[in-house]
Amino acid sequence: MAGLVIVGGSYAGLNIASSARQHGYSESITMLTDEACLPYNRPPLSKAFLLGGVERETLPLRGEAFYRDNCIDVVFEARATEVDREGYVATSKGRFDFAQLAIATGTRAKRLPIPGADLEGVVTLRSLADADYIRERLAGSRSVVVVGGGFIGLELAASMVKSGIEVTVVEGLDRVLARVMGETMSRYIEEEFARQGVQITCRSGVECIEGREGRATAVCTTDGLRHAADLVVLAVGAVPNIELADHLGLASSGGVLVDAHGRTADRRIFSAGDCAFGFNHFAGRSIRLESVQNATDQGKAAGAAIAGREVVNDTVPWFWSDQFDMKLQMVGLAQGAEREVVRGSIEAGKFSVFYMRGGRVVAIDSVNCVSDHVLGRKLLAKDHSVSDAEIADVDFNLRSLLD
Amino acid sequence: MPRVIYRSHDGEVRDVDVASGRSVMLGATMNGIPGIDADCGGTLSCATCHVYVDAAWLDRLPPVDETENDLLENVASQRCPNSRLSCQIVVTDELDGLSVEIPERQF
Repeated sequence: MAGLVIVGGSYAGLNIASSARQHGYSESITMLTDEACLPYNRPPLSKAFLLGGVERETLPLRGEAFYRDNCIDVVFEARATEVDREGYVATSKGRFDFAQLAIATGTRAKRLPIPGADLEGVVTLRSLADADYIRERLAGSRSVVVVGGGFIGLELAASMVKSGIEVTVVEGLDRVLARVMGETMSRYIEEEFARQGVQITCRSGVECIEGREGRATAVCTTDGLRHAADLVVLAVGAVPNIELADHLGLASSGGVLVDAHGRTADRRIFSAGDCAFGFNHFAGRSIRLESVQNATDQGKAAGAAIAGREVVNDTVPWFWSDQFDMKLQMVGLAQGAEREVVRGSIEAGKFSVFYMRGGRVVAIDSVNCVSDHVLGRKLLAKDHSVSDAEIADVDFNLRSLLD
Repeated sequence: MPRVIYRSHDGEVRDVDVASGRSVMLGATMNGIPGIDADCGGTLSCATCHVYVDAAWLDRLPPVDETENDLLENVASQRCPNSRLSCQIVVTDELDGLSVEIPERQF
């Protein structure tokens, strides 16, 4: 019996399966995951889990009962190697016939093509297995170098320094989070890290990783510095896993090409999540987003489409990160913004940066300002017009813009 | 182990054992109770684990803090005086028998 086969067992895969069932899909559903466990909560891996503050049993996004009740078969440690247009997926656990296929393969961590990158003690973080390995290695480490000042790199650095380890972040661009945030936020976060004892060096490329007896000992950077390290974390971004779709001619622009409902050009094949390049209502064009929210919402839309229903996924993109006592929340897309306007108090560590284009807010990054973020999720979804002065004035009620 | 009673918006009742120290959200996600999406995994970021707490239990819960209050402004179903985010309700022996209703929509 060939029903729906989902390649990938994380947020997108789970939401495709649950949404398909919720919308009445009655054929079999088989989820193939290359991991040994049910889909789990990934954000804690760089934060509380690393410090032992999260019980492993609480990581699954849904317990076994959910899969049983919804007749979703999960096949563990099944690595998909090929999709055949005849209607089957070849995997390390055999062949799975499909009537419909969903590609939810996500991304993998980027490696650096530099000498020493394959030494023991050079790690990346995507999976629970990666996090377990980092945890184990941290126990005997005194100093860690994190290569890359993006979200995962900074979250790891913040967690590690809390456990008393000396941490250096090496960033190639001129500021951290340059790809995703404006300058005001980057500078604020850099200062907070400095206050907490994390050394950040920007405009610093990695030349090589030195080792002794096969184990990493130091990171040498293009600015001529040598940072001693018992553990080196490469947090330099992710590469979408699009090979299966690429072989079918369904990938381009660095993603699996889909419409707003997760449909590829082959009407039997769908995709969602970090690997999918799809039409985004808020952006007004096709984009690829790496976030829990996108994987969840795109997965829900794709699952509905698989069941023959169309649901509109018009969620404004949002994202969060917790670093030290900073609750960082982002909503919207800042690309194309013309100006940054600060609302709240940077000194008090409670503020938001509003990204403006004409009289419109296109994105908001908040630090410990949940109300601005929550308002943003509604405001950005609708037509509005507001002045910079109104935004900067904390006595101006932003909720009035929702009326 | 304390029991938590989950009532769906259309009246279906399920009660499950939830270990002390775990949240009402986890009790739902781990036991296959539908309707609590919990997109952010309980980190007070998303507002998709909204529940209506049975009136008899409301004042036995710790108060709503500022962050939860702000997030409750954004829930998909109507916010009511007994609205809470279930990730913020930690089950204890004193809450044995706690009853919550799951709203129709979380997003």
